[in-house]
Amino acid sequence: LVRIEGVPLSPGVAVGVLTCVVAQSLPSRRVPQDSAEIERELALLDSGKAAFESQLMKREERLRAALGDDEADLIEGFREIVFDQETLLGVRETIRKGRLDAPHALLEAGEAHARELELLEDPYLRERATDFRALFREFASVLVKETGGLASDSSKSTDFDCNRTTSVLCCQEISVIDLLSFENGELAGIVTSTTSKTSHGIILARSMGLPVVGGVSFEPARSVRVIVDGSTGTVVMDPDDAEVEAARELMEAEIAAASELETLRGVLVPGKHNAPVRFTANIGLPVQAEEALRRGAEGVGLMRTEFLFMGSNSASLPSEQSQTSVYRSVLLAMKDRPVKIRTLDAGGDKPVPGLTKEGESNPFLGLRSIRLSLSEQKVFRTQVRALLRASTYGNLHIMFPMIISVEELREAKRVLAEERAELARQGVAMSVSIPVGIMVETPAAALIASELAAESDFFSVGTNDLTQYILAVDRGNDAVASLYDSSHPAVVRALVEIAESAQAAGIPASVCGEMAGTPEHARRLIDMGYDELSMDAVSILRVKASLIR
Amino acid sequence: MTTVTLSIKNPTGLHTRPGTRFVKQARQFVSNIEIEKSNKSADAKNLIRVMKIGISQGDTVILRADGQDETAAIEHLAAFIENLEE
Repeated sequence: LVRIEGVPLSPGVAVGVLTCVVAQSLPSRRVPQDSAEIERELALLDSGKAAFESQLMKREERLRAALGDDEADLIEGFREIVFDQETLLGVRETIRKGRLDAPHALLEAGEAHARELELLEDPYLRERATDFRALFREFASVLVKETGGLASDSSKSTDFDCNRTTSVLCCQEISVIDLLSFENGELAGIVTSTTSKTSHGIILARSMGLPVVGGVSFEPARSVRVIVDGSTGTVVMDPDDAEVEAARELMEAEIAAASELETLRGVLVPGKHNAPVRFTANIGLPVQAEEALRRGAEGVGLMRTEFLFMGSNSASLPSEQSQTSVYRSVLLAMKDRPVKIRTLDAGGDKPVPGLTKEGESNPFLGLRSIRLSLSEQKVFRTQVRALLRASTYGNLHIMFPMIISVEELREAKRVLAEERAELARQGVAMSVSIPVGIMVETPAAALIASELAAESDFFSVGTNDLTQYILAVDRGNDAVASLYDSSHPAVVRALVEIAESAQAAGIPASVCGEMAGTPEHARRLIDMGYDELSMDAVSILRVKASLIR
Repeated sequence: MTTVTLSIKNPTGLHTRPGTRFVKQARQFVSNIEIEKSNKSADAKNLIRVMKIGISQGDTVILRADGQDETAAIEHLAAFIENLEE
């Protein structure tokens, strides 16, 4: 029994027999010696092309039946690439000149394309180089098989597997071609040495619901039973029966949860004022938007923007352009669903090198969050401009964190208005009305909630900080963590008053702290009048299920 | 010759799948059609060439058609790009 920690790439749990795909090494290159050999190579190219084309068409049909047009059209694109007329003309030319045999001429052409793609700026497009290499390698190996040139010991045969248990594919890079060579139900999961989250292979694996763990490499020879947990990134080689049993239970729970999600997706949970409660996701990275939708989110209740600044230093704070493209990608992914983006909440437990101050004696009460934004306005203004520029791509809401006074809110809104005017002067298109709200997470904001509500378009309550500040308890401090209690009457009273102030002012109020994602708290929050609960996407189903029971 | 300038709004730009669909649309027309980004242009009917000029979200591209159905081609392809969602 060996436990290996890798990188979680696609969630879910699977048990199967490790089936390694070795990059089949082609026979060494053979330069055609005379015109007869050249003719033979050209004929091989033609017959191989016909064979490969029909293989790809079959896979395309299978995929269309299983997953629909979107996935199948990808294979159509692959055919377009690998059978590109110009490329094939070049390959024929290489053969005709007697430079290379047909399989190697194909590899060379694929490599040339891949290298050109790797020069592009767009990382997503650069990764398509992997597809090009895999496609031309596959094409070349079809040719070699045509001549009987490859040993017939299929790389996918396993000796362990007598009653056709499912397989766990192990490979260097996930090639779409490899994925599709398995019959329906034969493939349970994938272990791969890459960690790319945007290769076609991983995207397809995710849409097929296959658990994937990356960053793990194996000696390919062994075929043993493995457990792949793509949610935690763990691979267990040669597990004992108890462990397999536990994994199977997890699998069943996940399957049950997944089918429950489908039934719950459209179910409405009535709120206190009869309008249905909205379930939204907290996200910290743009890629999580897609997962949020899959898990039933009706919008983004909190998008944190700290990640943009984390790896940076004062010399390399994220540019307006790069921020715009991040915000735009989330807004586009969520279509017209509301997306609340919180301006930079740096400081406290989230220092940003070169921006937040070091050596504050009490950083939680220091120059952090909106205070930092208003004192270092250059960074704030850049972020605000990026948000305004992205606003036409979806349903953007802007939210300011850690507000303690009406003056702070006015100051932040003034900056927003100034930047809007400046961009308008430049002729930049912006959404006409962007709701602007605040995080209610300080005792001060809770106590003057009605004044703040009069000048906000919405409230979002951050219950973690609110609890911490009301109780004066640092829950990161083990000595007092047991005093941290979101059900403390002081916290509950604050929550009730915030909801009532919002209601009186006619603005929506949501909760985006951990309480929203905890079933017992969620019920109470709805009863208090909160109309939106925002939580980690994985919790949405669990919370919704507990509420309708 | 008919031309139009467009901005690419879909998150993945003109990559494999949207690119394939775009190329297929372009082939419905007899006109010569080119797509250009920052002075690099490609035959809009050839997927590999279109991929190699690297068209991503946020890019501005110029479509150019020359031939008997050039107006229809530009109208159709511009609408196609506007409506890309992937």
